[in-house]
Amino acid sequence: MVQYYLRHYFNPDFDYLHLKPGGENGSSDVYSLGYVQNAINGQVLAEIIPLEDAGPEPDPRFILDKPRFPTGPNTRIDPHYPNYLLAAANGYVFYLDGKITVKCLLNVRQDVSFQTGNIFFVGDMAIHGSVRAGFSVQANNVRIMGMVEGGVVRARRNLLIDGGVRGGAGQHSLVDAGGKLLSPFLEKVEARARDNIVIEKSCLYSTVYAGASMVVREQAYGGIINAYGSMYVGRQLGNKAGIPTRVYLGYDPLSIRQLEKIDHIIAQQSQTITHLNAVAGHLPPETNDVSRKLQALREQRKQLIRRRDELWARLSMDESYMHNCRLLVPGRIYPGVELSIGRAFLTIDRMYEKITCRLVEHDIVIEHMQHSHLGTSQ
Amino acid sequence: MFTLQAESHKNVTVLRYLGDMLLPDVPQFSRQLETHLLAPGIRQVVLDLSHVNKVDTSGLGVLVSASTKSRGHGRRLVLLTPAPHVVELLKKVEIEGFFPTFDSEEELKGFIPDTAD
Repeated sequence: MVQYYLRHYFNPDFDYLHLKPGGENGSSDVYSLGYVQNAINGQVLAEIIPLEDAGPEPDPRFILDKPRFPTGPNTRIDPHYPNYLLAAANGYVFYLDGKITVKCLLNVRQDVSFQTGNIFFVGDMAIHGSVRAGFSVQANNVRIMGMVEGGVVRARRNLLIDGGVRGGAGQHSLVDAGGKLLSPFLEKVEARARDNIVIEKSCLYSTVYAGASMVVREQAYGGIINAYGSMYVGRQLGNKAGIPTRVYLGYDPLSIRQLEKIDHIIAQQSQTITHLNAVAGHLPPETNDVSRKLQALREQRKQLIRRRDELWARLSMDESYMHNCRLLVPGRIYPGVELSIGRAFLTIDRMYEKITCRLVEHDIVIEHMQHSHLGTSQ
Repeated sequence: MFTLQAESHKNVTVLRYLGDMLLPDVPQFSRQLETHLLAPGIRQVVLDLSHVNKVDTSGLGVLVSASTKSRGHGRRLVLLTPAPHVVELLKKVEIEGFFPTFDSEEELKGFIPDTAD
């Protein structure tokens, strides 16, 4: 009788409750435990091959008398390649009741910490606990029912954090959403979203990049807030102590981020070039390894500077759009707040109440808020 | 059909993918990529996708599977200058942010200086 073998393209014995740290030569990476086995729509999960091609010691559990896949939910067989079993959705693959199954929503019913390691997932994720310091999470839509404290969370689409985001002891927390970002508070963190950011209570000492508008229902002070559109702060912007609070409106925060990244690389390269210049600056370019490296670095830096200039040129094209940007503060705004809309700049020199700031010609003007603005939050 | 050209650097291997990345290529590509990712002493593998011809989701699935497995071993798979149709497909299957990606050789050399040697 002809027998077949089920070759897996994932680990059929995977058990997320018994994860082991990665690493080699005695090192141990407790952040990399591989919590989930990702699969995307169309990915090969298993293949049926003749038993004689299965290698020297085939696993007896996967020897088949008939070439039939144990197909479960969200799996399919491509009619053109009937010996392959494919995933039919993005999610995680595992055996459920003897069937190969793909699930789209990953529920993490604990904190993201040393028990789970970092989690990178291609579907949607719900974390029923918090993301602890030093750990990272990445998925499509993400909901975190606890807090993010010193962790990194990236959502391809929307990110909803029930408990708030805090920098933690190392004051390093990053939350990044491809869509909207909602959180009750941000404190000493970096937050980015391509769409609106809505903070129910406070945004303190944080660096924020909003691809659309930014709403803080109660108070915001300290840090830098970049928003492409408008910003609304319900109760208080800045504080009595005059803590520097910078608000930049009108430039695409993504391009600003990219510029910062390029500037960082240019600064690093300049440092190396200065060092190499001292060693081989006087030599012709092809003399030795150092002079060749110096030449290559100069060329790379030239290209990066060109890219940076292109980005700035693109940013300045947005200038007509900036006339729609507003800073709306139905509560109080304190001295120490610096506002830029495009290239225009304004320092708040005294306390104001119920104001709107907007661009008129090339200057920012402060206007008393219209009655119709006071009842709305955006 | 495809070929995978490997360049070894300190802690990093740069792989240049040439050819199609389709379902019939999956078994061989999967094996080769995992061998490089799990090789001793390697911290990351940079996969140059600028010369990929035809690609489908089963080909991208190899990247997802290998990346997931390598993360479990404390390593990472980085993409380099994916061709426009690869970027398009990554977006279509909603995984464009899943892989760390460098958009140019300069960016790669800036962030991983070992690859410049």
